[in-house]
Amino acid sequence: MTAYGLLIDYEFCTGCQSCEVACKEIHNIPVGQWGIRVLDDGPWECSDGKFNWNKIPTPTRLCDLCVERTDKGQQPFCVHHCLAGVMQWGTVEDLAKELEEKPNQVLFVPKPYQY
Amino acid sequence: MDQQALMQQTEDRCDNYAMLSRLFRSELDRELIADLVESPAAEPTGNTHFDSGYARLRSYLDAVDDLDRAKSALAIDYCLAFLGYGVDPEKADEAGRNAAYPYESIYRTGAKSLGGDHCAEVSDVFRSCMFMPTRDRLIAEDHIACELEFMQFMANGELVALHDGELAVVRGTQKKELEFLEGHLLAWAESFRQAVEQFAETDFYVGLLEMTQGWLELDAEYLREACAEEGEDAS
Ligand code: SF4
Ligand code: SF4
Repeated sequence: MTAYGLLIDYEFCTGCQSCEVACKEIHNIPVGQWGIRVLDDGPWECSDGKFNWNKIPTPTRLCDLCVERTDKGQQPFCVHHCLAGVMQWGTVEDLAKELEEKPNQVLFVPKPYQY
Repeated sequence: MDQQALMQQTEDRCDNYAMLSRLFRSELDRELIADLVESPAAEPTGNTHFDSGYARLRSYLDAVDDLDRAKSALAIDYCLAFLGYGVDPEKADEAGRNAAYPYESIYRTGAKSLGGDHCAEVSDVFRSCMFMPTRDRLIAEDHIACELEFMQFMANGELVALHDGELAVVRGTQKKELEFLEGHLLAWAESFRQAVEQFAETDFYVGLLEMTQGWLELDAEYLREACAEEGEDAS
Protein backbone atom coordinates (compact mmCIF):
# COMPACT_ATOMS: atom_id res chain seq x y z
CA MET A 1 0.00 0.00 0.00
CA THR A 2 1.32 3.44 -0.87
CA ALA A 3 2.22 5.52 2.18
CA TYR A 4 1.40 9.24 2.20
CA GLY A 5 2.92 12.00 4.24
CA LEU A 6 3.41 15.69 4.84
CA LEU A 7 6.74 17.32 4.04
CA ILE A 8 7.27 20.55 5.96
CA ASP A 9 10.07 23.02 5.40
CA TYR A 10 10.64 24.34 8.92
CA GLU A 11 13.40 26.66 7.72
CA PHE A 12 10.82 28.88 6.05
CA CYS A 13 7.77 28.20 8.22
CA THR A 14 6.75 31.61 9.62
CA GLY A 15 4.90 30.18 12.60
CA CYS A 16 1.66 31.84 11.48
CA GLN A 17 -0.45 28.91 12.66
CA SER A 18 -2.80 29.06 9.67
CA CYS A 19 -2.34 25.30 9.29
CA GLU A 20 -3.63 24.81 12.85
CA VAL A 21 -6.70 26.92 12.18
CA ALA A 22 -7.40 25.40 8.76
CA CYS A 23 -7.23 21.89 10.18
CA LYS A 24 -9.49 22.71 13.12
CA GLU A 25 -12.03 24.28 10.76
CA ILE A 26 -12.25 21.44 8.27
CA HIS A 27 -12.48 18.77 10.96
CA ASN A 28 -14.48 20.72 13.53
CA ILE A 29 -11.84 20.10 16.16
CA PRO A 30 -12.83 21.61 19.52
CA VAL A 31 -10.83 24.14 21.54
CA GLY A 32 -7.90 22.54 23.34
CA GLN A 33 -7.35 19.88 20.67
CA TRP A 34 -5.38 20.01 17.46
CA GLY A 35 -4.94 18.08 14.22
CA ILE A 36 -1.62 19.80 13.66
CA ARG A 37 0.24 21.91 16.17
CA VAL A 38 3.05 24.39 15.64
CA LEU A 39 5.73 23.57 18.21
CA ASP A 40 8.23 26.22 19.22
CA ASP A 41 11.86 25.38 19.88
CA GLY A 42 13.81 28.43 20.96
CA PRO A 43 15.18 30.97 21.02
CA TRP A 44 18.32 29.57 22.60
CA GLU A 45 21.93 30.34 21.89
CA CYS A 46 24.40 27.84 20.44
CA SER A 47 28.09 27.86 21.41
CA ASP A 48 28.98 29.57 18.12
CA GLY A 49 26.91 32.62 19.11
CA LYS A 50 24.11 31.86 16.67
CA PHE A 51 20.59 31.20 17.84
CA ASN A 52 18.23 28.30 17.34
CA TRP A 53 14.57 29.20 16.89
CA ASN A 54 12.37 26.85 14.91
CA LYS A 55 8.65 26.61 14.53
CA ILE A 56 7.84 23.00 13.75
CA PRO A 57 4.30 22.20 12.64
CA THR A 58 3.61 18.68 13.88
CA PRO A 59 0.59 16.58 12.90
CA THR A 60 -1.09 15.01 15.93
CA ARG A 61 -2.97 11.70 16.25
CA LEU A 62 -6.09 13.53 15.02
CA CYS A 63 -4.55 14.07 11.57
CA ASP A 64 -6.27 11.88 8.99
CA LEU A 65 -4.20 13.34 6.18
CA CYS A 66 -7.46 14.82 4.90
CA VAL A 67 -8.37 11.61 3.08
CA GLU A 68 -11.76 12.94 2.09
CA ARG A 69 -10.12 15.81 0.25
CA THR A 70 -7.20 13.94 -1.25
CA ASP A 71 -9.55 11.23 -2.55
CA LYS A 72 -11.22 13.99 -4.56
CA GLY A 73 -7.89 15.19 -5.90
CA GLN A 74 -7.70 18.16 -3.51
CA GLN A 75 -4.78 19.10 -1.26
CA PRO A 76 -5.01 18.61 2.52
CA PHE A 77 -6.54 21.73 4.07
CA CYS A 78 -3.38 22.73 5.97
CA VAL A 79 -1.31 22.48 2.80
CA HIS A 80 -3.91 24.50 0.92
CA HIS A 81 -3.84 27.28 3.52
CA CYS A 82 -0.15 27.45 4.40
CA LEU A 83 0.71 31.13 3.89
CA ALA A 84 4.38 30.47 3.32
CA GLY A 85 3.80 27.53 0.97
CA VAL A 86 6.12 25.32 2.99
CA MET A 87 3.91 22.23 3.24
CA GLN A 88 3.60 19.46 0.68
CA TRP A 89 1.47 16.36 0.61
CA GLY A 90 2.35 13.31 -1.44
CA THR A 91 3.67 9.79 -1.41
CA VAL A 92 6.57 9.10 0.90
CA GLU A 93 8.54 8.08 -2.15
CA ASP A 94 8.06 11.45 -3.89
CA LEU A 95 8.49 13.49 -0.74
CA ALA A 96 11.68 11.66 0.18
CA LYS A 97 13.14 12.79 -3.12
CA GLU A 98 12.24 16.38 -2.29
CA LEU A 99 13.79 15.93 1.13
CA GLU A 100 17.04 14.87 -0.49
CA GLU A 101 17.14 18.13 -2.44
CA LYS A 102 16.60 20.52 0.46
CA PRO A 103 17.67 20.17 4.10
CA ASN A 104 15.85 21.64 7.13
CA GLN A 105 12.63 19.88 6.23
CA VAL A 106 10.78 17.20 8.09
CA LEU A 107 8.69 14.36 6.68
CA PHE A 108 5.74 13.24 8.79
CA VAL A 109 3.87 10.06 8.02
CA PRO A 110 0.91 10.07 10.41
CA LYS A 111 -1.28 7.02 10.67
CA PRO A 112 -4.61 8.37 9.42
CA TYR A 113 -7.07 8.92 12.27
CA GLN A 114 -10.59 7.47 11.91
CA TYR A 115 -13.13 10.25 12.21
CA MET B 1 17.95 81.46 23.63
CA ASP B 2 19.67 83.17 20.71
CA GLN B 3 18.94 82.19 17.12
CA GLN B 4 22.09 80.09 16.74
CA ALA B 5 21.46 78.10 19.91
CA LEU B 6 17.80 77.66 19.02
CA MET B 7 18.70 76.26 15.62
CA GLN B 8 21.23 73.88 17.16
CA GLN B 9 18.69 72.74 19.74
CA THR B 10 16.05 72.14 17.05
CA GLU B 11 18.51 70.25 14.91
CA ASP B 12 19.38 68.02 17.88
CA ARG B 13 15.69 67.38 18.52
CA CYS B 14 15.27 66.35 14.87
CA ASP B 15 18.18 63.95 15.16
CA ASN B 16 16.90 62.46 18.39
CA TYR B 17 13.46 61.81 16.96
CA ALA B 18 14.97 60.37 13.78
CA MET B 19 17.16 58.01 15.76
CA LEU B 20 14.39 56.86 18.07
CA SER B 21 12.06 56.33 15.12
CA ARG B 22 14.69 54.20 13.42
CA LEU B 23 15.31 52.10 16.53
CA PHE B 24 11.63 51.17 16.74
CA ARG B 25 11.02 50.79 13.03
CA SER B 26 12.75 47.47 12.49
CA GLU B 27 15.54 45.26 13.70
CA LEU B 28 18.96 46.91 13.86
CA ASP B 29 21.61 46.15 11.27
CA ARG B 30 25.28 45.58 11.95
CA GLU B 31 26.37 49.12 10.97
CA LEU B 32 23.83 50.76 13.21
CA ILE B 33 24.85 48.61 16.16
CA ALA B 34 28.50 49.50 15.49
CA ASP B 35 27.60 53.22 15.39
CA LEU B 36 25.69 52.97 18.64
CA VAL B 37 28.51 51.09 20.36
CA GLU B 38 30.98 53.76 19.29
CA SER B 39 28.76 56.75 20.00
CA PRO B 40 29.90 58.97 22.87
CA ALA B 41 28.03 58.55 26.16
CA ALA B 42 25.12 60.95 26.63
CA GLU B 43 25.24 63.52 29.42
CA PRO B 44 22.77 63.05 32.29
CA THR B 45 19.63 65.13 31.74
CA GLY B 46 18.08 65.13 35.19
CA ASN B 47 15.05 63.23 33.86
CA THR B 48 14.79 59.95 35.79
CA HIS B 49 13.32 57.92 32.93
CA PHE B 50 15.83 59.18 30.40
CA ASP B 51 18.90 58.76 32.58
CA SER B 52 18.09 55.32 33.93
CA GLY B 53 16.87 54.09 30.52
CA TYR B 54 19.99 55.35 28.83
CA ALA B 55 22.23 53.77 31.48
CA ARG B 56 20.52 50.44 30.87
CA LEU B 57 20.80 50.66 27.09
CA ARG B 58 24.40 51.82 27.37
CA SER B 59 25.30 48.91 29.65
CA TYR B 60 24.06 46.58 26.90
CA LEU B 61 26.07 48.39 24.21
CA ASP B 62 29.21 48.49 26.36
CA ALA B 63 29.08 44.72 26.73
CA VAL B 64 28.85 44.08 22.96
CA ASP B 65 32.00 42.27 21.84
CA ASP B 66 30.68 40.55 18.72
CA LEU B 67 28.53 42.58 16.32
CA ASP B 68 27.04 39.58 14.53
CA ARG B 69 26.00 37.98 17.77
CA ALA B 70 24.53 41.28 19.01
CA LYS B 71 22.63 41.64 15.75
CA SER B 72 21.02 38.21 16.18
CA ALA B 73 20.34 38.71 19.88
CA LEU B 74 18.73 42.10 19.27
CA ALA B 75 16.71 40.86 16.30
CA ILE B 76 15.34 38.05 18.46
CA ASP B 77 14.52 40.48 21.22
CA TYR B 78 12.86 42.85 18.74
CA CYS B 79 10.70 39.91 17.71
CA LEU B 80 9.90 38.93 21.31
CA ALA B 81 9.19 42.52 22.32
CA PHE B 82 7.25 43.95 19.38
CA LEU B 83 6.24 41.32 16.85
CA GLY B 84 5.46 38.13 18.71
CA TYR B 85 6.24 34.87 16.95
CA GLY B 86 3.16 32.72 16.94
CA VAL B 87 0.34 32.63 19.45
CA ASP B 88 0.89 31.03 22.80
CA PRO B 89 -1.87 31.60 25.36
CA GLU B 90 0.51 30.58 28.15
CA LYS B 91 2.93 33.38 27.35
CA ALA B 92 0.26 36.02 26.61
CA ASP B 93 -0.48 38.96 28.91
CA GLU B 94 -3.86 39.72 30.49
CA ALA B 95 -5.19 41.27 27.29
CA GLY B 96 -4.14 38.14 25.35
CA ARG B 97 -1.20 39.84 23.64
CA ASN B 98 1.87 37.82 22.71
CA ALA B 99 4.10 40.89 22.42
CA ALA B 100 4.04 44.60 23.18
CA TYR B 101 2.67 45.57 19.77
CA PRO B 102 3.99 49.10 19.19
CA TYR B 103 0.75 50.77 18.09
CA GLU B 104 -0.99 53.52 20.04
CA SER B 105 -4.50 52.13 19.57
CA ILE B 106 -3.55 48.92 21.40
CA TYR B 107 -2.76 50.84 24.59
CA ARG B 108 -5.40 53.54 24.37
CA THR B 109 -8.24 51.07 23.98
CA GLY B 110 -6.80 48.36 26.23
CA ALA B 111 -7.97 45.85 23.62
CA LYS B 112 -5.99 43.61 21.33
CA SER B 113 -7.26 45.26 18.19
CA LEU B 114 -5.56 47.79 15.97
CA GLY B 115 -7.11 50.84 14.39
CA GLY B 116 -10.22 52.62 15.58
CA ASP B 117 -10.66 56.20 16.77
CA HIS B 118 -7.18 56.77 18.16
CA CYS B 119 -5.52 55.58 15.00
CA ALA B 120 -7.84 57.72 12.86
CA GLU B 121 -7.06 60.75 15.03
CA VAL B 122 -3.33 60.20 14.49
CA SER B 123 -3.84 59.98 10.73
CA ASP B 124 -5.92 63.18 10.82
CA VAL B 125 -3.13 65.06 12.56
CA PHE B 126 -0.60 63.70 10.07
CA ARG B 127 -2.69 64.75 7.09
CA SER B 128 -3.52 68.17 8.49
CA CYS B 129 0.24 68.78 8.76
CA MET B 130 0.90 67.38 5.28
CA PHE B 131 2.87 64.47 6.67
CA MET B 132 3.06 61.01 5.10
CA PRO B 133 4.84 58.53 7.36
CA THR B 134 7.19 55.91 5.99
CA ARG B 135 5.08 52.77 6.33
CA ASP B 136 7.23 49.91 4.99
CA ARG B 137 6.09 46.83 6.85
CA LEU B 138 4.13 48.72 9.48
CA ILE B 139 0.47 47.87 9.67
CA ALA B 140 -0.95 51.22 10.80
CA GLU B 141 0.11 54.84 11.13
CA ASP B 142 -0.10 54.88 14.91
CA HIS B 143 3.07 52.75 15.07
CA ILE B 144 5.54 54.40 17.43
CA ALA B 145 8.10 54.78 14.63
CA CYS B 146 5.58 56.83 12.57
CA GLU B 147 4.61 59.01 15.52
CA LEU B 148 8.27 59.73 16.27
CA GLU B 149 8.93 60.37 12.59
CA PHE B 150 6.08 62.89 12.68
CA MET B 151 7.81 64.75 15.52
CA GLN B 152 11.02 64.73 13.49
CA PHE B 153 9.12 66.12 10.50
CA MET B 154 7.59 68.89 12.61
CA ALA B 155 10.89 69.83 14.24
CA ASN B 156 12.38 69.94 10.77
CA GLY B 157 9.60 72.34 9.74
CA GLU B 158 10.57 74.51 12.70
CA LEU B 159 14.14 74.50 11.50
CA VAL B 160 13.17 75.69 8.03
CA ALA B 161 10.95 78.43 9.53
CA LEU B 162 13.77 79.50 11.85
CA HIS B 163 16.06 79.73 8.90
CA ASP B 164 13.55 81.95 7.09
CA GLY B 165 12.99 84.03 10.22
CA GLU B 166 9.30 83.13 10.37
CA LEU B 167 8.83 83.11 14.13
CA ALA B 168 5.04 82.84 14.01
CA VAL B 169 5.36 79.60 12.04
CA VAL B 170 7.90 78.29 14.57
CA ARG B 171 5.54 78.96 17.48
CA GLY B 172 2.56 77.50 15.65
CA THR B 173 4.54 74.36 14.88
CA GLN B 174 5.72 74.01 18.46
CA LYS B 175 2.14 74.26 19.68
CA LYS B 176 1.09 71.43 17.36
CA GLU B 177 4.05 69.33 18.48
CA LEU B 178 3.15 69.81 22.12
CA GLU B 179 -0.47 68.92 21.42
CA PHE B 180 0.62 65.75 19.67
CA LEU B 181 3.04 64.81 22.44
CA GLU B 182 0.46 65.30 25.16
CA GLY B 183 -2.49 63.93 23.24
CA HIS B 184 -0.72 60.94 21.72
CA LEU B 185 2.88 59.87 22.35
CA LEU B 186 2.87 60.63 26.08
CA ALA B 187 -0.63 59.22 26.47
CA TRP B 188 0.60 55.68 25.82
CA ALA B 189 4.34 55.84 26.61
CA GLU B 190 3.92 54.53 30.15
CA SER B 191 1.68 51.54 29.33
CA PHE B 192 3.79 50.70 26.31
CA ARG B 193 6.94 50.71 28.43
CA GLN B 194 5.35 48.41 31.00
CA ALA B 195 4.23 46.02 28.26
CA VAL B 196 7.71 45.90 26.73
CA GLU B 197 9.20 45.15 30.14
CA GLN B 198 7.02 42.07 30.20
CA PHE B 199 8.18 40.71 26.85
CA ALA B 200 11.68 42.04 26.09
CA GLU B 201 14.66 40.22 27.51
CA THR B 202 17.58 42.54 26.76
CA ASP B 203 18.54 45.71 28.57
CA PHE B 204 18.71 47.32 25.16
CA TYR B 205 14.97 47.32 24.48
CA VAL B 206 13.86 47.73 28.08
CA GLY B 207 16.28 50.67 28.36
CA LEU B 208 15.19 52.09 25.01
CA LEU B 209 11.59 52.27 26.16
CA GLU B 210 12.43 54.02 29.38
CA MET B 211 14.79 56.40 27.62
CA THR B 212 12.16 57.20 24.99
CA GLN B 213 9.57 57.98 27.63
CA GLY B 214 12.13 60.25 29.31
CA TRP B 215 12.93 61.98 26.05
CA LEU B 216 9.25 62.65 25.36
CA GLU B 217 8.86 64.12 28.84
CA LEU B 218 11.92 66.33 28.35
CA ASP B 219 10.76 67.52 24.97
CA ALA B 220 7.26 68.28 26.22
CA GLU B 221 8.82 70.32 29.01
CA TYR B 222 10.92 72.23 26.48
CA LEU B 223 7.93 72.87 24.24
CA ARG B 224 5.74 73.96 27.16
CA GLU B 225 8.35 76.55 28.11
CA ALA B 226 8.70 77.70 24.50
CA CYS B 227 4.93 78.07 24.14
CA ALA B 228 4.71 79.92 27.49
CA GLU B 229 7.41 82.35 26.32
CA GLU B 230 5.33 83.06 23.29
CA GLY B 231 2.37 83.87 25.56
CA GLU B 232 4.58 86.40 27.35
CA ASP B 233 5.80 87.85 24.05
CA ALA B 234 2.23 88.40 22.99
CA SER B 235 1.07 90.09 26.22
S1 SF4 C 1 -3.53 16.88 6.60
FE1 SF4 C 1 -5.59 17.52 7.17
S2 SF4 C 1 -5.91 16.48 9.11
FE2 SF4 C 1 -3.72 16.45 8.76
S3 SF4 C 1 -2.95 18.27 9.74
FE3 SF4 C 1 -3.37 18.84 7.65
S4 SF4 C 1 -5.46 19.65 7.70
FE4 SF4 C 1 -5.15 18.52 9.57
S1 SF4 D 1 0.62 27.61 7.82
FE1 SF4 D 1 2.65 27.18 6.94
S2 SF4 D 1 3.92 28.92 7.58
FE2 SF4 D 1 2.09 28.96 8.85
S3 SF4 D 1 2.67 27.82 10.69
FE3 SF4 D 1 1.72 26.35 9.31
S4 SF4 D 1 3.42 25.49 8.15
FE4 SF4 D 1 4.19 27.33 9.10
